[in-house]
Amino acid sequence: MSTPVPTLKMAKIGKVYRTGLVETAALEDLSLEVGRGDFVSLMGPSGSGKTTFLNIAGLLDTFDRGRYTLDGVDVSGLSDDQQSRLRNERIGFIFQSFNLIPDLDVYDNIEVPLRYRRLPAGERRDRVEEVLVQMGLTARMRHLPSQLSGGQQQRVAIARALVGRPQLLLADEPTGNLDTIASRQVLDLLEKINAERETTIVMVTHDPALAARARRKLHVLDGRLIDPAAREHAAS
Amino acid sequence: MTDVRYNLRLVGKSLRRDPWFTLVMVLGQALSVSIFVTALTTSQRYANMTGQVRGDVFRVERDPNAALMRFYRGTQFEVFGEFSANYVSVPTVRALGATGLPTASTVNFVSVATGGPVEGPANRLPVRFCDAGFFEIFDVAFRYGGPFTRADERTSPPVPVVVLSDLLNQKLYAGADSTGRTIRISGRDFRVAGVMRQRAGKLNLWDFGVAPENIANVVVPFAFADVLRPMPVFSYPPVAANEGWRAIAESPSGVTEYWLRLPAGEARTQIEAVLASIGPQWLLRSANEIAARFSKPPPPYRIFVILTLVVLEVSVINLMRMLLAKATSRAAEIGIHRALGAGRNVIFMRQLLEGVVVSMVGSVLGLALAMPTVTMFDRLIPDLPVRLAVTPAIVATTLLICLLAGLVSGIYPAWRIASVAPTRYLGKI
Repeated sequence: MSTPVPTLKMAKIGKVYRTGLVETAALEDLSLEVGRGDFVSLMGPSGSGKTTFLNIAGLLDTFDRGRYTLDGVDVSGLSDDQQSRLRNERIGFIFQSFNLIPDLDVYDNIEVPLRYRRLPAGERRDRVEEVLVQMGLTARMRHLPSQLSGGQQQRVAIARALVGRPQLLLADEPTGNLDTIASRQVLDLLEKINAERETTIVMVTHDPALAARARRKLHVLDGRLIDPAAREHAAS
Repeated sequence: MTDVRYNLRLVGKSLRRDPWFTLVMVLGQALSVSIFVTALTTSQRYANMTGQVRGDVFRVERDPNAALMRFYRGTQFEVFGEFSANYVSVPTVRALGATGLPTASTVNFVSVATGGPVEGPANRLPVRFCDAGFFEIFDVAFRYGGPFTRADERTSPPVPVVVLSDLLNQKLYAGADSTGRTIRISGRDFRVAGVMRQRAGKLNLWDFGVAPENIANVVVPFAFADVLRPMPVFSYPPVAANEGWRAIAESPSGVTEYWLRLPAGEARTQIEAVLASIGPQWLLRSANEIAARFSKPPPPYRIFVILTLVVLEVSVINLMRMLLAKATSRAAEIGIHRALGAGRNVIFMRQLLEGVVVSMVGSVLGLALAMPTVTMFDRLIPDLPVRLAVTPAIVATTLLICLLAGLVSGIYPAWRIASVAPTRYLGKI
């Protein structure tokens, strides 16, 4: 029986930011393996490297050393075009500030990733309508983001992340701009997606209560990954 | 195609987001385009006369008078010196016509008479004398009616019919169909047989003279010269007004252009032999060669066009800066598109498209603005021999230049914005 390919596998990833003569190590020898259907939370103080990790994982940023394979594909040799395609097909993003395109209405915002995948119009429509129903946004499909509440905007962002049926969902403080009720609803939604679709979720958060709802909790400190479970396991 | 439509939609939304900024970009482009179009229109009036006549059409010329050329060289009348070489005497015309070799031929000179529509008072009336062959040689297009014919000329007495130029018909009859109307010239009545169509914004090869009368005139059969006794506007060596037509027609002074169609090479050789017997300086100049002299506009007009191209270039640089500023202000949105799967090439093309859209909208608006500017030019300089017109060729040239300008102005901002890492802007929207 073959070992299943991990959705995300990083080995000794290093990233250094250079400003003039000053070099700042954002990630140092970060190694991580996230399997299919995992729900991982990532915590850590500001500047610890969480966002850098998320950007590299989402193919939005490059790394200086190490090896990163996404769903079995080694990303280091890929061109910008190939990375964009991989990002479009296999990764969904949920941002703290929603990052909806202000000029586009709910429907069009959700449709954007499918446009870049060049799906036929009929399939695009079916997929968008499906997630609109799932997210309870059908009545708002012709609203602009500015006409929605924070919770609704985040649901649109989640719908947009899900419409491409990605294997990996990267969430950067998904509840950071939401009130308690909306935060709980978003977390419920993420749990449901993870359970029903087997979508791998990596969520960065400052909130220990939210992090606790993930199946696996990781900490980043000074660009290094600390796995409390592994530490406890080692201690025992 | 779907991609282009989608990108155009996004570009449209982007431009509508900051309408005033977009308006400033478009207006900047439109103003420089309108100046460019005005310059181009003015210059093109004197350019590109090729293709008006067939290759077997010739004009009788002689070498420019050396003494006259020395006198005029370096002055604004230099062209005038060359111009004198195009005129032949009436006896020469008769000698060449008597050979029977040309399949068509015509004299062509302008005089000024008194007359006008019989319904109104008599005024100064420019008259062009020519033969029926004129319409055939120059393949003249008609707005109304048609030409007078060789049969009209050959009857005795000749049929009193005339043809109006478009511009004179505009002046006398407000552009209405004047065929069948009567025009009185030097006390004699003529029926209008037709109204010629003027090529928009272009001089005709036979119009290229020094006087405004060359354009707005009534075309009268040369057969009436003995009756109307014209005094040609130009003659060289000069003839005195009091000499009268009979003396002028018998003098060796050049008073008229003489155009001939000589399809056969043998006929051409024979005509050249006849010319050589008249004088060694006489020659046949092909109409294509004459037209080629005016393939480019005169230098002052060319400089005017170049200056306006510089203005257009400044406007392109300005547009480039504004597009870059606009793209930078929209960088967060571009970051989102990148995160959702848009490659650098997609962002580059969309940004380039934005430059082209702004440039093309600006150019269309500039063309629209150029119409009143060109009309204003026409009114400011009333003696222009032909009305200026923004021709389809000028529109096509302008649109092509503006397409290139749009691409040029869009390339740098597109490259800059597409090469920025998406992480730099994400989270800032």
